[in-house]
Amino acid sequence: MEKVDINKFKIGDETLFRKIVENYGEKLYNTVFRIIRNVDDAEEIVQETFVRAYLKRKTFKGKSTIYTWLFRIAYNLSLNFIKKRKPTLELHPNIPADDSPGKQYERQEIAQKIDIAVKHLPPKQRTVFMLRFYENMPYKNIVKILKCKEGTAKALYHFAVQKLSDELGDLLT
Amino acid sequence: MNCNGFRHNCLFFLEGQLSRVIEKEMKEHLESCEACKSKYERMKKTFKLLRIDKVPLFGEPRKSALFPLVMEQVEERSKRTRRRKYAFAWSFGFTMLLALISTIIGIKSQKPMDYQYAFMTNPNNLIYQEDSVVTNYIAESLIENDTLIKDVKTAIDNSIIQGSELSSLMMELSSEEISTLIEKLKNTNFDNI
Repeated sequence: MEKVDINKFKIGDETLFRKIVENYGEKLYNTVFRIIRNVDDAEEIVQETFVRAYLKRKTFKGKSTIYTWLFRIAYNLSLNFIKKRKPTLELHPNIPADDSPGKQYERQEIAQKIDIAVKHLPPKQRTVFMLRFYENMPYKNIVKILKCKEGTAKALYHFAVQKLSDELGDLLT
Repeated sequence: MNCNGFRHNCLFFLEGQLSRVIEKEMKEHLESCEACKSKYERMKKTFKLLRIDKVPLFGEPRKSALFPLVMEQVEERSKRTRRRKYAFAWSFGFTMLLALISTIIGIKSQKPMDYQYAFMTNPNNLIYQEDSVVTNYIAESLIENDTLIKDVKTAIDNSIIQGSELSSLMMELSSEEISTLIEKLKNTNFDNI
C-alpha cells in the first residue's frame, strides 16, 4: 500500500478507503476488543476510528504505516472510553458451543478471570500487552502509537505480564 | 548470570528474543536456581493461559456493513461541519455588518459634537481647532460684523452656540463679510484674548 496510495488516500479515494476498511477493520477490532473487552463497544470504536481517519486523512504524513496511524486513533478513543466508563463484568461470548456443559462452565470461568485481570491493568499496560502479546507488534511501532520511549514500552509490557501472572495465580496451579 | 539478570531477561527469553550467548546463560541459571525456575514456569503458564483468551469473531456481516456505516457517518458529519461553517460565516458577517453600521452611526453622531471641530474659511484656509475662547471670539466677530447678529445673539443667550452652528453661520456670510472677518482673525493674537 503505502507510498503511492498515501496521496490517493489523502485525496479521499473511496475505493482505496474501502480497501483499507476491509483490510484493517477486523485486525483493529481484535486489538480494540482485547483492550475494551466488549464486542459492541469495540465495534463502535472501530467504526469511529475509520470515520475520524477519513475526515482527518489530510493529517496523515506517512511517517508510520497506515495501520499504526489507524491504531493510534483507535487507542486514543479506547483510552477515552476506559476513562469514561466504569469497568463491567460480562459473560465472554466466545465459548465454543460444542463443549460439554461442564467444560463450557470452566472455560467461561477462565475467560471471566482473564477479563477481570486484564481490566485491572492500567490502559497503557493493557495496550502494550495486547499489541505485543497478541499481535506480536515490534516495539518500534508500539512506541509510535503510545508516543513513549522503547524502554518505557518494554517496562510496561513487563509490568503487565507480572500483574497478569499474579492475578491469574490460582488458575496457574 | 544472577537472579536479577535472569528476571530482567525472562520475558525476552520466553519470546525467544535473546542472543544465543545470553540464552545459554539463562538456561544454565534455570538449571541451578529453583526460585527463578518457578518464576519462569509461572510466567510460561500465564502465557499459555492468555493464549486461550479468544476474541469474538468479527463475522462477514459485520465486515461488509462496516464501510457503508463509516461512509454514512462521514457524510453526516461533513454536512454538520458544513452547516457549522456556514452558520459561523453568516454570524461573523452579520456581526461585522452590525459593527460597521454602529461605527458609521457613531461617526455620524460624533460629527455634531465639537470636541475637535475644525473651522475653515475659504479664501485663506484658516483652520482653528475647537477652542471655546476662539469660538467665542468668532461669535463676537460675527456680531460686530453686524450680519446675522440676531441669530448669534440668541445662540449665545441660550448657551447653545457650537462650532457646527458657527460653521453654518459662516456659510451664510457674503464674500465681503468673510474677507472682513479673515482680516480680523489674521490680526488677532489669540494668546492675549
